[in-house]
Amino acid sequence: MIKFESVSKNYGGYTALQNLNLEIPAGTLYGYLGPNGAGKTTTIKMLAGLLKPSSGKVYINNINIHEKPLLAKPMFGYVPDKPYLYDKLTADELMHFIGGIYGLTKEKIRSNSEYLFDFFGITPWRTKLAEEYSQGMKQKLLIAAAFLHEPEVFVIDEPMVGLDPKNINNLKLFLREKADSGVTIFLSTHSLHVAEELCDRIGILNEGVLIAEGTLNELRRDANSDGMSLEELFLKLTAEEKLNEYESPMNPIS
Amino acid sequence: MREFLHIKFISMFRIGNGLKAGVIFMEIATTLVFAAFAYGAYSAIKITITFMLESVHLPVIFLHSLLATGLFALFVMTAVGNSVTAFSAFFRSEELEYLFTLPLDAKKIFIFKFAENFFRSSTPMFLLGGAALLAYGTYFDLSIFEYLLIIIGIVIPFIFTAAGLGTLILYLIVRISILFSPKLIITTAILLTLIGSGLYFQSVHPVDQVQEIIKYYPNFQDHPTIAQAKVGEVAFVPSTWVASALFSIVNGNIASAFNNIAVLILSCIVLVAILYNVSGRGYYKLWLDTQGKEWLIKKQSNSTQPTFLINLKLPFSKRVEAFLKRDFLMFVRDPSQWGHMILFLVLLLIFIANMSGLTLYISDPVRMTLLFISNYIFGGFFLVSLAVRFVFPLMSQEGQAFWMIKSAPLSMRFMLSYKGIISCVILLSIGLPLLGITSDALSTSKNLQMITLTFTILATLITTLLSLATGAWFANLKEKSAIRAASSRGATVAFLVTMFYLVGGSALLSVISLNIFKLTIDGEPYEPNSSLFLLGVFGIISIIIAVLSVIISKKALEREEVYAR
Repeated sequence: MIKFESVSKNYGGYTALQNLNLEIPAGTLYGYLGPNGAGKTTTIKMLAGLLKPSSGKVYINNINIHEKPLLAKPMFGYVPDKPYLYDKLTADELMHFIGGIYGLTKEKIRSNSEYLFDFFGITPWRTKLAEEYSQGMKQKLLIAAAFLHEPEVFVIDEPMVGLDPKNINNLKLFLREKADSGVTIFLSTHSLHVAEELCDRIGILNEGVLIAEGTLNELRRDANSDGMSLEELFLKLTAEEKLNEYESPMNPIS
Repeated sequence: MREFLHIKFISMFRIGNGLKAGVIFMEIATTLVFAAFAYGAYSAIKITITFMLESVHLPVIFLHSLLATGLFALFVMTAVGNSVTAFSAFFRSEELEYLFTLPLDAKKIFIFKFAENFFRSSTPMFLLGGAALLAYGTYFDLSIFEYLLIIIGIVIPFIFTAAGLGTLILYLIVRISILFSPKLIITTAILLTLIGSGLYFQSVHPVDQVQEIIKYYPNFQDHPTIAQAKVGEVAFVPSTWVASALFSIVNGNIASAFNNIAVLILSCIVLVAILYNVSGRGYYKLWLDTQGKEWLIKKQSNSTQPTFLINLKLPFSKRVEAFLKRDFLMFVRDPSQWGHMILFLVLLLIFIANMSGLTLYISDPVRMTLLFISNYIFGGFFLVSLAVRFVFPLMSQEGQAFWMIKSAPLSMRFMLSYKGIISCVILLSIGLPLLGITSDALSTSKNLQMITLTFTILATLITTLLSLATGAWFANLKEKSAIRAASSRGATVAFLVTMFYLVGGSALLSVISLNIFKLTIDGEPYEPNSSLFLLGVFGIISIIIAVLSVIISKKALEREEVYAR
């Protein structure tokens, strides 16, 4: 379970997130959408304990992550928007390092690694240094590492970045299976078709404010937009102008 | 290119996110540290020159002979330092991937990178060099013309020659590495540097010179050969030209100085011309080759995984074991890390070998104290250099993968304790044998050895904590090279602050050692109370600095603009 209670985040005079109230029950696959600069990554970093809220509280399974981080953090796995990892470690070594930090036994690390490496197609690369990996391979390894300790909550910023269609499909199946087994998944994405296909509930953030929240049907109903795709709904709600209405000074529309 | 330089200039001085009180305070504090260090270096050098020439009555030429030796070490350090950092600047910098997409001449990019690398990694050298020149100039009462002559005709060509030579060697190493094994080429270059330095010191042998001085003190006029610098054997070395030119200037023989100045300027011009032409002919092509070569090496390699290490059970908690294994693997897989460590250890062995061969002919407590403290400060300087090079970059080395640590169930207290304890243990394991061997060579008493041991343990702890704290505060998680992190402005601040502390501690220790040497020579019993008081003062100062360092480290790790990006 994830809960945001009146959470705001200011950077100097700029408000990145304003009074977010949101509760996500266990086993939900939640899509967190919004235009660039809406405050999605700020929200996720607060959820992962990387940023402190300026006001309000963030809970993971009813534990305030900023007050009791050592109790809350073992319950979740996190993957940021950019897949930075240790270039000079192999996948195997990274898994043992992460496993060590989470206090797992060597047997547990080995068995979980085997399963995750096989599922994500990392096995042939497991003894190569991470600096040799493509971006997609790094992303897969980080997702595998985040699930090593079997978290109850999984937070991921832009899950499909760098992945090819086959791996995207694999990951969608994996996330769905995990959510069905009770893991709460919070994902932020610009891939609206992924969110539409995968998520149980969706939140749309615009300029730091959660402007819509619910299932896709609830969002359509609230916006009086029956039959609209998520993309159309998103554009309507965030009031973004479409690209073809844009008059570019470099290539003026006659 | 002008626009590019303009942007670089702006970004160098622009402060992000507006002017915050903390940022202003840090800027002022940094400036004060730099200014105080420059003044301290100026005073120390002037006092040393005055002492050598007026109290010990050393001949002026002998001072310049020693200066030539010191300048040789500086020349090698500048050349090697520039060579090492140049690899990141010329072939690894991500900025190059952008620059080479622009319609810019590769020659200009090369020269720009050379200048950037040179000025970026030489702040302490400029500071120390400026202070030394001012101290030297005020002692010998140089005119404005002579200052200008020294700066333009000697200092600038000298350091540019060193930096240029280092860069040229690196350039050649990379070019040859494309054809042969990079490891073989780098090993050969390191060996050649060591052999060259060894041959130089074989010819000059500063220990012999010091021994001679000690042996014949104070009757130098009866032994005229002592005043002769052994320049003939090493006349081809730029440091000898510098020392000879300076000697001519202070003797009012400007015409003679011009000979050496001309050679210096000519060698600098030739070197810069070679660099400019070599780079123009193939820098872009070589850069492309290194990118391709690197990719080929990686794809062809069958990385072998040390499974025994992963399965090895260490007598620590799971977390400490995980960190130890990670840090060990990352250290041994980064040639710049272990290569530099080996270089440090070789220098240490050379020093110890020289010290153990030193025979003292003195029974004067003042000079015994002077030797003892000089040795202690050298040991301190060595430890501080090690700490700045290896402990300061520890937080930066966590890199952009630091989110893994921050989002894991680990307290920052654990991180700081782990890094602090490991660093302190390693520094102590180097510092204590160094202290033991040199104390033995200087025939110090058991009492003094025990007091020095206490000082050293405290000093090592504080050196570690200060380096860690400044490293955490000035961390740059985007900097992949530990060497570049260790040559940043923050590292300079760490170095200066720690040296202040150590020099202060050495001053207290000198009072204690003078007392003990006097009592030993007079055959009187040692009364520990006065020593305990000074030791207590040092202890209290150390505790205050330790507490401040821990507070700064913890505050630093809370900085979201650095550690949450």
